[in-house]
Amino acid sequence: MAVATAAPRFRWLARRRATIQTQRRTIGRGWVIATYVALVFFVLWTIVPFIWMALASVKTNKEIYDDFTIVPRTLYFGHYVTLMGGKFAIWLRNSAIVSIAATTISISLGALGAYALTRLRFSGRRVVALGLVFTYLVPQALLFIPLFQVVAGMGLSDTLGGLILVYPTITLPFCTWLLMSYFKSIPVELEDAALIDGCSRIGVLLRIVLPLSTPAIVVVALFSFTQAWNEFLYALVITNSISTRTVTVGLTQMLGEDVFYWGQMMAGALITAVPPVLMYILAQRLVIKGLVVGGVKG
Amino acid sequence: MANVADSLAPSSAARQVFPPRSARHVLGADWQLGWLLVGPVVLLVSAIIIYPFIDAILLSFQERFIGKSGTWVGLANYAALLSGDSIPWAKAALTTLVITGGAIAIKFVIGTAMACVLNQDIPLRNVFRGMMLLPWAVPAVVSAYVWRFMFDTTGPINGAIANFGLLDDYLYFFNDARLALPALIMVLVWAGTPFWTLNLLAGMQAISHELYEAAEIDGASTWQRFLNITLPSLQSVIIVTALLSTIWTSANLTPIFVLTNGGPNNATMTLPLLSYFVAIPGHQLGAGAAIAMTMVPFYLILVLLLTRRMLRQDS
Repeated sequence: MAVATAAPRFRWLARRRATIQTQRRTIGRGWVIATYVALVFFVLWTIVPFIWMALASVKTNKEIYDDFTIVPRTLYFGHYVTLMGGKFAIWLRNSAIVSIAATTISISLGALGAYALTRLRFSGRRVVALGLVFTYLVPQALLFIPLFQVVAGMGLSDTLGGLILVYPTITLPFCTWLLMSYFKSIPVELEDAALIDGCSRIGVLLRIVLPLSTPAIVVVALFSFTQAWNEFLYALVITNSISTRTVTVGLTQMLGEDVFYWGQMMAGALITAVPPVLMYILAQRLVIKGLVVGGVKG
Repeated sequence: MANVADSLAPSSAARQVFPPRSARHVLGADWQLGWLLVGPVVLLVSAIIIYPFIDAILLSFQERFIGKSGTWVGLANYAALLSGDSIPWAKAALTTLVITGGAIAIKFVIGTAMACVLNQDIPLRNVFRGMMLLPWAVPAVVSAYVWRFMFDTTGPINGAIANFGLLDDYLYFFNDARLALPALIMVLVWAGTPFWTLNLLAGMQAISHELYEAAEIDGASTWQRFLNITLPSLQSVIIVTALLSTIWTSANLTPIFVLTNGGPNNATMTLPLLSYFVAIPGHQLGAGAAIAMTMVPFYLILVLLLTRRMLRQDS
């Protein structure tokens, strides 16, 4: 109490101490210590590789190969400059084009399909819904050989178009399934009211369901983009010239040589990781804010 | 309600052409609009998932090279796999089981511990929650790449060994089968644990506090409460997560491709990676498809178990 009145800014500390005390009572002092030891271990285990990557990307080659410094003495951005001056910028652009296109296709088709599957009554509905789960779970490892042939058969080998065609195998069932579970959470009474007022089914979808679902659609789109951006196997199999590679495949091609340019490679890895991490943070914000789950509760 | 809605729908005039009720009776009240909306999804999924899957089955009975037309060879591709003359199928199958089993078991243990920690009332809890899920958000290529550097002779692990004089020589992780396999499993665990943590944490938050309070009053220790309340309550979460994680871990060739390329001496060659090497660099599409097909019974069991559970939860 004295602490709290004397210095209001330490009030959180007192509160903290109080929660730690109740914790100690419920799980015991030994377990509280174990919790914090484990926390430190898990944080280091998760974050050290990322830190090592970031540090290496701003070290000079001499620091990486000869001096083995841990923290670089100066920030050296040469690796980034070399990287962005080369093919890497094209790979980034390719990844962006393919991911945006695949996401747009998956979200627009998926939203319409998900609405029909959750709200309309027609035969075959349950079979389609079940089929989506099955197709979502088919691993890429089973599909890349025939898809390679499909793409070749359409004359789309080694083109971004080929990738845009096959990426919905990952994103479309996923988007449709997630949107279905969201549409189920919107009260059907809203739609019934609009239908009674003379709104058509399409009108209900466009004026009520889609506007209400915008945050959910954004989150699903972010996840879909991330999946397409992170994809590796299809891009490896379908593209083979330098100008059509996506960034994930491009990165692995840097491993080919005898000498590994770790500085450049870590800079490339870092840049590649940034978009999915940003999208992930953004999606998490939207989910936490409650915009997505139960947007129309009560 | 539905009748009112239908009579007001714009397509109701068109529907009068059919004998009223009968078509709608059979096909459902909204069959026209329903199939119109769901049709594109069904078409695309059929074209790029269902058709290729069937094609892969047919391909596995053919001898077919890239750019050539195939000839039917019956079960010859499968016979070649089992004889093990040219393709180390049996070894790859065993490696796949070892890597998947090892990775799943460790992910379960670490994921549970991580979820327990993040479920406690620790400071900056949301920051830590977000941070620990990071390895899951980055591309598999990036995580594999970073770890390849961590294990490299210029990386921090060998740096520490050299600095403190722990060993006489560097550890060449990916040149030695005894080191490559554990190192690979460790990377898979690092990248895959957040998925477990996320699911287990969500499961833990759904457990009622009253259960714990009642157990505490009865004098149950923390460990007993974990064993008798937390774990049993998480049973279905654990099963679903384990099934999904098994499918994804066993099928994902990306980390192996980047870290070891299947080496040294095929010690880390899994079936998906073998299938890739035979089919694409090796140009033998039929034999590659046959390797992929040998995984289907395994996946079929996992998927059936999973869909049964998911549908039961749904209804």
